[in-house]
Amino acid sequence: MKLEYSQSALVKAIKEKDVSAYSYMIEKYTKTIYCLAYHILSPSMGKEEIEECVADVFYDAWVKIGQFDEERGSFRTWLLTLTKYKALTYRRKKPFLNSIALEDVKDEASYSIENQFLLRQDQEKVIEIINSFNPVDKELFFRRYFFGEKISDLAKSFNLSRSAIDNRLLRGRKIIKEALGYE
Amino acid sequence: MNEEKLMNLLNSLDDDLVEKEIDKLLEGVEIDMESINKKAHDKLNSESKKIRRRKKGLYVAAACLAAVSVSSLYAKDISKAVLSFLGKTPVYDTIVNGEAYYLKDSRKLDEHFIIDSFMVSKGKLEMELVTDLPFEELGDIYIIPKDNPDIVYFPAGYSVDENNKYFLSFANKTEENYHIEPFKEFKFEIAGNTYEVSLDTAARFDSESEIYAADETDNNDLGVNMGAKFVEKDGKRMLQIITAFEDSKLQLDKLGKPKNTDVSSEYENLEKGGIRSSSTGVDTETLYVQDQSGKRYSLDVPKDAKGRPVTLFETKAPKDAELTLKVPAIVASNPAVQEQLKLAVPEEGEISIDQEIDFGIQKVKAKSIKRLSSTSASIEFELDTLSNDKVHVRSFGFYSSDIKKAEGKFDASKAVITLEFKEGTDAVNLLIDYPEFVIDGDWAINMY
Repeated sequence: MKLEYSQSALVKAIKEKDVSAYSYMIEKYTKTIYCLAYHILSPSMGKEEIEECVADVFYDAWVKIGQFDEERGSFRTWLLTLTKYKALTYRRKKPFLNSIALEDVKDEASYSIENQFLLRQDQEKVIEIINSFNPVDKELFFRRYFFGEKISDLAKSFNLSRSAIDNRLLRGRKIIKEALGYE
Repeated sequence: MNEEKLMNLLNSLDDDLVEKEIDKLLEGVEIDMESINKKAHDKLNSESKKIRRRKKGLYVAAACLAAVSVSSLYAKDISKAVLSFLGKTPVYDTIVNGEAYYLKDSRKLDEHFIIDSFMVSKGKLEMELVTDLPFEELGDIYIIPKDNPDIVYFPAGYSVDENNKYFLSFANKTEENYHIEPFKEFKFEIAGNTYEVSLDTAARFDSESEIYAADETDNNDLGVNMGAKFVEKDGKRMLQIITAFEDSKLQLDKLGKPKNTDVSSEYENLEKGGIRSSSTGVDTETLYVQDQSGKRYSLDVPKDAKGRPVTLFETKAPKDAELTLKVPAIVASNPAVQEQLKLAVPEEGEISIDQEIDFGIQKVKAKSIKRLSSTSASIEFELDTLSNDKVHVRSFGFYSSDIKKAEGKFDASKAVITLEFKEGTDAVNLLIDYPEFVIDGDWAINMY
């Protein structure tokens, strides 16, 4: 039998230093965190370093759980913010990757988002629309809007210019906006 | 739709949708979940040890076994103490393992019998019975579980106080052993009468149990986890000490350091009269909690405490003080040990045996056997031959159908068992069992 936690129960349990909650967090969020760490650190860093980075994120979350504010965003979003911070720290350690865009560092400390309620059917619709994009645009969308990766990083990663990335994202947003009937 | 709004929207996606998309994004990328899990737990393990050295943590025991299944191997590595307390059940003034049933209030059966307390758990069945009848009129005493009437338990040992209260400890008559399974309802047969009794279910430690654990790093090699919690009982603030052994065969006999290291035990085969045996009891030094100024407050065994060993203590320590519990040592035993020694008794003089007996956490060595007379001999044992200065063999049991009488003397380093047998005896089979250990863990538990 597997124990399930709601977000608030998980946060409460981690605050109480319940190791079962720590295990649960790892089991549930490894893929998500790995995905972002992988995109930030690969290919310059190998499997071992990426895994260390992911493990560090979980330990950071355990230690810094008091900083998590449910009003400011989901636990997953907070973990992703920690991941970005940690992955960039790992990158800084690599001498040849010493140049970090200032915008990256500035954003790390904040995960403030507008906490909005989204109907399940709208969520599914958004996913469906993004999945209908061509493979490059689709990955761009998730990495930009789900993981919050920087446009400059995406440009490097996809070997495209900044403006090309901007244009692709703009085009996608328009499609989504129309589909959901947003102004 | 602007950037921020879309980002907010995607950040609010339900987990299952996100996971599906991540799986797609990670297609072709191999994630070694096991390795990451291990690394993350290693970090927690290593870092939390450092933290615990500075500030002993307040642990909250997870409630259900489901939590254990999630936490798997690594959680066990991290907080063995907390996990080992799961499944423990406080009953009366003691703690048992697993499922347990007890009588919440004393129960008057008729004008002759009152069951003052009753508890049953795996391997343990105890009753306190008050009666005005003399012992010889009690007849056969049996307990028969309602859901398993093929099993009959009978008193394997008893003691009686000045108020005619009998403390009865039961064994399995059907199987002739100490195999006891918990039950909720039973028939009680005594003095030719039968009574039906229903028990209450004892509650295990749950998720709200605030258990303070001793620093695991101090005594990792001892295989003992020590914890404690405050309990409110009958308006009094009490302190419960929880002990868990990594070796599940070990059981707690008493908390605290024995006042004496010397132990005597005797055994006599009365043939038709059965077997008479006796042994020095364990009297331990008082336990204390101390506040930050070093002032000590004793932990006192409640008057009329029920259940053995007593793990629930009264204390006058102030509520607002930062208290540290000190447990210098405990006494534990291993009822599972049974070793046969086949010994030739020399016609005269002394011969070497040099046979080691493994008690698990400690060993002893049968060194030699010496003829004392035509009907007696003595065996010398060296104690604590396993290099572990924190675990000492206090005593062990001995029995042989070849001997009439035996007497054992145990001190800090050796034991001598003197055997009396029939003339002409040149060999004995000696059963060595039930070793009792003193474990000098010197545990300290910060309860703040």
